[in-house]
Amino acid sequence: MSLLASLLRMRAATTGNAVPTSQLRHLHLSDRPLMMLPLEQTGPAARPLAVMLGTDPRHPQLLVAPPSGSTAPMLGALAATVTAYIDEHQQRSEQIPAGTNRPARRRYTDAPQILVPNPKTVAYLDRLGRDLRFRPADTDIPAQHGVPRLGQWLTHFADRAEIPGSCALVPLTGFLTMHWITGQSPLEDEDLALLLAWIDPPRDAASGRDAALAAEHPDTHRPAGPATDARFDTEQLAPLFEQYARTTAQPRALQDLERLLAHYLQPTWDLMWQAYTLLHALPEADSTARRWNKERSVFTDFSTYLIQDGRPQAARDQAVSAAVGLARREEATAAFDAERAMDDPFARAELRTAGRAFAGTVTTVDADRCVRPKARRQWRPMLTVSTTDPVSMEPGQLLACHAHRNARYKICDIAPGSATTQVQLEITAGMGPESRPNYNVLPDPGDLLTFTAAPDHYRLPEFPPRNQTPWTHGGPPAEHPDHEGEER
Amino acid sequence: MSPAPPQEDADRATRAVLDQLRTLTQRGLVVDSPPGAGKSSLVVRAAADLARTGEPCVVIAQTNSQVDDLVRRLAQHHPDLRIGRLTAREHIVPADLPALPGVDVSDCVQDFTDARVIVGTAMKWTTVTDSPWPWAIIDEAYQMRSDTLLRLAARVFDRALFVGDPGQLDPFSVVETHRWEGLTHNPMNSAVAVLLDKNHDLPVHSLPVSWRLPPSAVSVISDAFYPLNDFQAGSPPEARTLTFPALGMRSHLDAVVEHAARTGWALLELPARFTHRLDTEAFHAALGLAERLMIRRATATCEDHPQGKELEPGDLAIGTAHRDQAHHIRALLAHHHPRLKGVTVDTANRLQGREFAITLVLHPLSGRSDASAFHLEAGRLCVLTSRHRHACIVVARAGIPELLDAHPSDDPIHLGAASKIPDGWEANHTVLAHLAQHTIRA
Repeated sequence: MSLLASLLRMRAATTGNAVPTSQLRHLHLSDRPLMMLPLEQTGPAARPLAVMLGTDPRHPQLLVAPPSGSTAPMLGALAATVTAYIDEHQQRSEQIPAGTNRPARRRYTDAPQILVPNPKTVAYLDRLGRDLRFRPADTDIPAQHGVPRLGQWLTHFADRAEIPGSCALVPLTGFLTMHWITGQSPLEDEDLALLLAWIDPPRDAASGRDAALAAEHPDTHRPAGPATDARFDTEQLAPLFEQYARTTAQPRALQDLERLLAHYLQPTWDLMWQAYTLLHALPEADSTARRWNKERSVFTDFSTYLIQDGRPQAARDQAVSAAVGLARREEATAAFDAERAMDDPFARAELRTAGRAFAGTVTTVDADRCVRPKARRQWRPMLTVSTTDPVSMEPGQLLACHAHRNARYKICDIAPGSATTQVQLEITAGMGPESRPNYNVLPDPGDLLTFTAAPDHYRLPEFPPRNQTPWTHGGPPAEHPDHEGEER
Repeated sequence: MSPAPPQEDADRATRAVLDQLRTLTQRGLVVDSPPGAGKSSLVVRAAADLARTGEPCVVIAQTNSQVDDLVRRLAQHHPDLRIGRLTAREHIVPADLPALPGVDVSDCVQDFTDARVIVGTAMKWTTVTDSPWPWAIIDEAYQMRSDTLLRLAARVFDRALFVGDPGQLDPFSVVETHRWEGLTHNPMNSAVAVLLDKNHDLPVHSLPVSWRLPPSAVSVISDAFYPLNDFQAGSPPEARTLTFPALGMRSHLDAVVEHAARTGWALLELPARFTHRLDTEAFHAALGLAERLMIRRATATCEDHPQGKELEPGDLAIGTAHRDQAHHIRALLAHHHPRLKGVTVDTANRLQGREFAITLVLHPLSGRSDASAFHLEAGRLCVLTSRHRHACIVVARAGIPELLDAHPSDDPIHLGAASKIPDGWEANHTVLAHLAQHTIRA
C-alpha cells in the first residue's frame, strides 16, 4: 500500500465513510457482462453446488447440482449458457491491417466479460476449469458435449485474470477497491457486502461503517462464495441433503434445494449489479480502449486456437511456456502501470508519495538548445522545474510526463535548495523529425507538470520454440502435454 | 583435523575446477563461492584457459560494472589475449576500457573477428543470434533468473561454467504469482537452482577460502548463511588490525568504533521504537560513526598494506535495505558531513559483489513493527554483513529478537518447491545472537 493509500484508509476509518480515489475507470466495462455467482459444495474438491448467472439483473438463471450423484447435467447446462454468451461475441469481426510484427488479420468487434464477486471466485473458476478441461468428451448425451470446452474457456478466463489490466474476468471487489478506499482492512474489503456498505451505504445508514456493521450481522450476512457459510451448511443445507438422500421423490427435494439457494444467492446477485452500476458511472480512462483492443485480440486468437487445435491447455506450464508467461505478465504490469500514470492524476499523486514522481512549476525553458555529440546537430531543449517534492531520483533518470505521452525527459541536474529543489531536464524524445519539429512538446514557463519515472523500453523477448528447450532446462519436454497432467 | 593453509587449500580447489573443466564429460560445471573467495580471479583464469584451447570463450556477467571489472582484470592478467567487450548500443563504457591492451569495444559481436574472450551482460547476450559458442562462463549465476538462462542456453553456448555466490540476494520479478511455484523450471528461480534441478549429475565445486572476510567474520557468516559449505579465512587474525592514531572523546560512538576495531563486530543499539522507514535518528547514528572513523584517522593493516593504511571515505560503505533510505542518508551526508564525501551509501542489491574496509549497516528489521519476507530474506542480511575486510558495524533499534519471535515465517509452502537454505528467520537469529556479545547501547 502506498503512503497516500494508507493515509486515505486512516481518513476513511476516522470519518466512517469510504474515500473516492481514482475517478477514472481503467478497465473496460461491457454493456452486457455475464455475471457469475458460483457456490461450491463444502468437502469435495471443485464440486459445484450452484451457479447463479446471466446478463439480465432481473432474470438470473440458477443452476443447482444435486447433493450427490452426477453433476454432468448441471455442468452441461452451465456450458450451454456460457458458450451461448461467448458465441454472441463471435458474430462480427473487423479487419486489422498488418502491423510491424503481425500480418493483417480479423478481430472480433466485441469480447465476453465475466464479472464475479471476489478473487476467491476467480480461483474457484480456475480450479473448476482445470477439472473440466480434461474430461473425456465422448459422453453419449449431446447436452454435455460442451463441458470440456467450458473447462477450456474457464481456464482461459482465469489465466487472463492474472494479467494486470485485463478485463476478461474481473472480481468486483478488486474493481471497486481501485476506486474507493474504505476504513476496514484489505481482507474485509474482499467481502462484497461489506465493501459496498462502505462505498454505497443505504440511505438510512448514518455512515458507511454503520452500514458495514449492519451488513455483517450473522443473521442476514451471506458470504459471496464460492464457499458457503458453515451455519448455513449445518442448519439449512444439511437437512435438505438428508431429505434428498432418503426420499424417493428426488425432483421435489431438488426443487426445495433450488428455492433455498435462490433465496441465499439473490442478495449477493443484487449487490453485484449495484457494484456494476457504480463502476459503470465512472468515466473511462484514455488507455482503456487500447487494452480492450488487446483483450479482443486475445479472445479472437483463443477462439481460433479452439477451432484449429483445440487440445486442452497443459496441466502445467513447460519451461518455455512458463518463461513466456512471465515475460508477458511483466510486460502487462509495466504497461498498465505506465498507462495509469499517464491517464490518472490519482495514480500520479500516489507515485509522488512513493518517490517515483515529482510535480513542479516550469521556471525556465531553453527552447533553442542544441548539442553535437556526433557529427549531426541535435535539438535538445532544456527546462528547469522547481518542485517542493522530495526528489529521490538520480541524474540520468529518464522521465515521462502526462502532458506529452511520447516525450522523454532526462534529468541533467538536481539542485536541492532549502524549500524547493531545482531539477534540470533535457528533452530527449518526442520532438518529432528534424524537418518538422514538434514545438508543442515545449512547455511554457509557469506550467505545472508532473514527471514520472519513464517505463523501461520493453520488447517481448524471443524465446526458443518448445522443441528446442535447452539442456539447462531439461531439454525438450515430451509431447502431448495433456497426458502428463497430475489430475487425470 | 586442522584445515590446510589457506593458500594451499584455495589453489587445490581452483586447480580441481580447471582440471575438470578440460576433461568434462557433462555439459556444465557449478562453482559456489562464499563472499570474497576469488570468484572473479577464477573466472579470469578459466576464461584464459578455455580461450587457449581453440574457440573463443564467452563470458556473461549480470551488470555493466561487473563486465567492465572483468575486462580490466582479463587485460591486466592476460595482456596477450584479445578481448571483446560486447556492449549495448546506448551504453557508454568507461573511458579506460578501450585504451587497455588488446581490448575492443563494440555493440556487434561480428566485429570481434580475432577476440579470444568476449565479455558482455546477460541482457546483451540474449540479443545475439549467431551460432552458439562451445563454452561460456556465467558469473554471478545465482543473480540471473532462470528465464534468462533459457534464452542464453538456446542460442549462445553449448557448455558452461557457472560461478556464483549462493548466499546473496535471489533474483526477483515485479510480477507476483504462485503459478510456477514448485515447478523445477520456475522462471522466477535463480538460473543455478533450475540448472541443478534439471541436471542432477553436474559437478558442484565450492571455493574454500574467503580472502575478503577477516577471521572474526568467517565463522558467523559461514554458520548463518552457508550452513552447507564451510570456508576459512585467508588471513591470520594478526594480519588484519584496525587502530586509531587520534584519541577519542569517550562518547558511545567512540566506544562502538573501538569495540569494532578490537573484535571486527559491533552493534549500536538505539532505544526500542517503531519508526518510519526513514529513521533519521538511526541515519545520524550511522553517519556519526563514519565521522568518528574519519576523525580518528582509522588505520588498517592487511596483507595488501602490512604497514597500515589510513582509511579514506571511499573505504567505507553504509548499507540499507531500501532505496529511499539510501537516498535520504546521501542527502544528509551531503548537507551535514562534508568530511564523508566519497562514502558509498547504497542498498544491499547494489552493494552485491563490492568490497570495503568497514561497512556500517542499518539493520533491515530496525524499528519495524512486523517482519515481512522482504526484510527477513537471508540474502539481504548476508550481503550487508559480508562486504567488509576489517569490521562491520550494525545500527539497529532494540527489540529485533522479540520482533522475530513474534513473526515466525508464515509463507505458504508449495509442493515440490525446495525449502530455502538458509532460512531467513533462522539466519537473522544467528547473526543477532552473535551481535548480542558486541552490543553497545546508545
